[in-house]
Amino acid sequence: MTREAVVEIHGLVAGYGRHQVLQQLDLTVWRGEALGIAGNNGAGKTTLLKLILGLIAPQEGYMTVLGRMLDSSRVRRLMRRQIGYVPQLHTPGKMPVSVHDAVLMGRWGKGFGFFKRPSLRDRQKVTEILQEIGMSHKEWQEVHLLSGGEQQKVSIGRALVREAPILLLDEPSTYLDHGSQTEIVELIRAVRLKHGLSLIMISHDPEHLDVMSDRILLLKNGRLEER
Amino acid sequence: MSLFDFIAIPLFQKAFIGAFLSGAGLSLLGVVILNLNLTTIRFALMHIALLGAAISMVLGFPPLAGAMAGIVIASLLLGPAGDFLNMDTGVSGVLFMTGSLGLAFLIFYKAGVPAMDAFALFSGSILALSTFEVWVIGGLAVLIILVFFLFYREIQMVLFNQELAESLGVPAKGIRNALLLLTGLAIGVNIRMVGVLLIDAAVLLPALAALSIAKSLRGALLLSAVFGIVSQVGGVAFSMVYDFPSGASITLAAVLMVCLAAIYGYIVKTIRR
Repeated sequence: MTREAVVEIHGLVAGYGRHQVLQQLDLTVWRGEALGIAGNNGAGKTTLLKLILGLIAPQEGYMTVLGRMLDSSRVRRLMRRQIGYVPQLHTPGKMPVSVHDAVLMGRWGKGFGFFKRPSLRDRQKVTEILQEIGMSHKEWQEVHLLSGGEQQKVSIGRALVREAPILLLDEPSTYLDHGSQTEIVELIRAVRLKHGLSLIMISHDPEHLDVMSDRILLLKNGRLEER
Repeated sequence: MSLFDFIAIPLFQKAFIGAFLSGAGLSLLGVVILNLNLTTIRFALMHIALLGAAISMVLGFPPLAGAMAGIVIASLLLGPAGDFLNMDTGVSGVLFMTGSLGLAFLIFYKAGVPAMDAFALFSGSILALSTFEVWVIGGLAVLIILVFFLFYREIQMVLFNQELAESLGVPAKGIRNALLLLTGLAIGVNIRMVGVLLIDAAVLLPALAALSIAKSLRGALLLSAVFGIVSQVGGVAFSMVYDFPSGASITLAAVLMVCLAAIYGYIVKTIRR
């Protein structure tokens, strides 16, 4: 049986202006794999995630997501629909947003969008995911009133509701207390198995990745190395 | 004179209509300003209005035309300039504010235009609104409500987390820039209504009150409009009946709204405990 690549990167050079963060980087992520990428702060981990998400374009080299070359901003925007993204835990602002609405955001571009309101199916999908991540009882609570672990669950829920085959996680368990870390790790393992997801996780601490990854690479001097 | 006597006079009718429209539509942008951390932007836009007025006077045009043109141009530039300079939009606003103020004073000094004529723009009065200005406020209020109605979900995402919105495929920067333009226009219009020093009362305070008790963006927008209407129309009515300055009355009514909302929020929180 041949393995299928979900993300392929070859000779990739990327950075901001003249400052090159990633240099001649090669990477293949296989379908169903859980890949951990570790590296110090400033090593370029977040830049790599932004490239895969198509938020920035490479200066050299090429990359494909699900076999589709990310060679234009249109394709990059389109392929974002195939990726669920769990950003670093951030302090929510003052704006009141319910857990339901925060998860529903993940359906943008998938179910609803410009001039198209969320459908019953979008709402049902949110309810299903909230049950799966154990947040149904807090469906109408405001996100900024939740604990860090619960906010991270909401982020994972938002990524899952996209029904995307690839999940990108930026420091998924790093800034949580021990109890919440364990819960998040278990949740990530469970949803990966249930949905058959390919995971790419980054963290500055390899220990956080050990328990969740099949393979861990180290990002150092702009290149990936086997750990 | 009673309130009904005042309402019968066309001049005061225009003030009431202007206050209602401003409260209903323009107050909504306070929610945007508070959530995108744009509190410095309004100062930047005021000073850019001054620069626009100065340039306009040098070229022989009315200062108001230059002020509005300056606000529109700056509103369009603020977002992209922040992106280019890799700065938070609020921080790039400081650059615009100080830069435009310096340039304005340079022009006043070198071109010999009367600075006080430009500064006169800053002392607006709701009682001085012309019919045309009421139409402009009405048009802008309708546009703002329409934008929030049509793009509610996208605006919600951008206000919640701009980077996240971008990662979901929402053109977050475009939406932010459009909101900045509307905010600039609202500030420009409100300068004419309450004057520059009291602009927070018209734009920010209703939103501040709303955000302290609302449970969703929709709730915050609705409450912001309600508080905006009550403080603006109530302030104008109070100023007429008791012969107070209109700008100060609107401001104090808005401050009262914030206090009442804070007390309500405190009571609700205490009961829940």
